[in-house]
Amino acid sequence: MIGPFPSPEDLAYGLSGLPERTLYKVGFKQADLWEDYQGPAEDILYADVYEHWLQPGEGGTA
Amino acid sequence: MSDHHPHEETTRSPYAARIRAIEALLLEKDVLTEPEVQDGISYMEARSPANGAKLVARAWLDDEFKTLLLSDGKAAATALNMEPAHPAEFVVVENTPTIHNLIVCTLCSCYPRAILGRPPDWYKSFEYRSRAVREPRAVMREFGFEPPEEVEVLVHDSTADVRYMVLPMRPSGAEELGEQELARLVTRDTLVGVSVPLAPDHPIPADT
Repeated sequence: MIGPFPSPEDLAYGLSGLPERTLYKVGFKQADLWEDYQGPAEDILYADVYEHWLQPGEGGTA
Repeated sequence: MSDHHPHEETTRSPYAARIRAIEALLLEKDVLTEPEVQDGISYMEARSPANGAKLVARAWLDDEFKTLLLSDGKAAATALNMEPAHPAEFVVVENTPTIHNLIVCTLCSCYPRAILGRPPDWYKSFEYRSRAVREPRAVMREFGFEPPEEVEVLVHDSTADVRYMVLPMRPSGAEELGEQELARLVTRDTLVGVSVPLAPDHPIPADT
C-alpha cells in the first residue's frame, strides 16, 4: 500500500478528487502475465493501481 | 524548397503547430499571461537529469544520504537545494547486484519532472510504454544494456501520484572518483533504468 490520494479521474475533470482512494503497488510475476515471457521467472512487474480500479478476483472476498 | 530556415520549415510537427495555436488562444483569452508562460518554461528548463546525477553521486559517497534518498526522496532533493515542489511523491528504487529496476508509465508519461525536467521523447512513445512491461529485457538490450539472467528485473509502472527514479550501482573502477566526476557517469537513461552508468574510462560525453 502506498497511501491515500485524491481520485485521479475526479481531478482530471476539475473536481476535488474526494474521497481519497488508496493507491496500491501491485506485484505480478511476469511469467504469470505473459505466456511467452522472455526472461527469468523471478522478473516482476509492479503496477501502481488505485483501489477503485481493482475488482475482487476469483475466490476472493469483496 | 526555401533554404532560409530549413530546420524550422521541415521539422516542425503538427503537434508543435497545435501547441502554438493553443498557447496563442490562452493568451488572447487571458487564461494565461505571457509572464506565466515564461515562468512555466523557466521552471522546466531549470530541471534536468543533472539533478538526478547529483543525487546518485552523493548517495554513492555518503551512506547516510543514500538511506535518506531511498526513504524520503523529496527530503534528499531538498537537502541538495533542489525544489521538489510538485505534489507527487518522489520514490527512488535501488539497483543491487541481484536487482535491476526499470521505470515506465504505461498510462501516459509520468516522470519525476520536478527533479529531472522533461522526460525523453522515447519515454512517452507507445512503443516504450507497451514494450517496457511486456519485454523489458529486449528493450534494455536495444539501449545497449543486458542484465544477466540471475539479476531480477523489476518494472515499476507509475501513476501521477508517485514518480520513480532509479539509483544505479556505482560502476567498478570508480572508487577513487569525486562527486562531480561520479555524477558525469550517470546519464539520464540510467535514471530510468534502460541502461547503467558509464564506465569511468568511457569517454565523457560533451555537455549539452
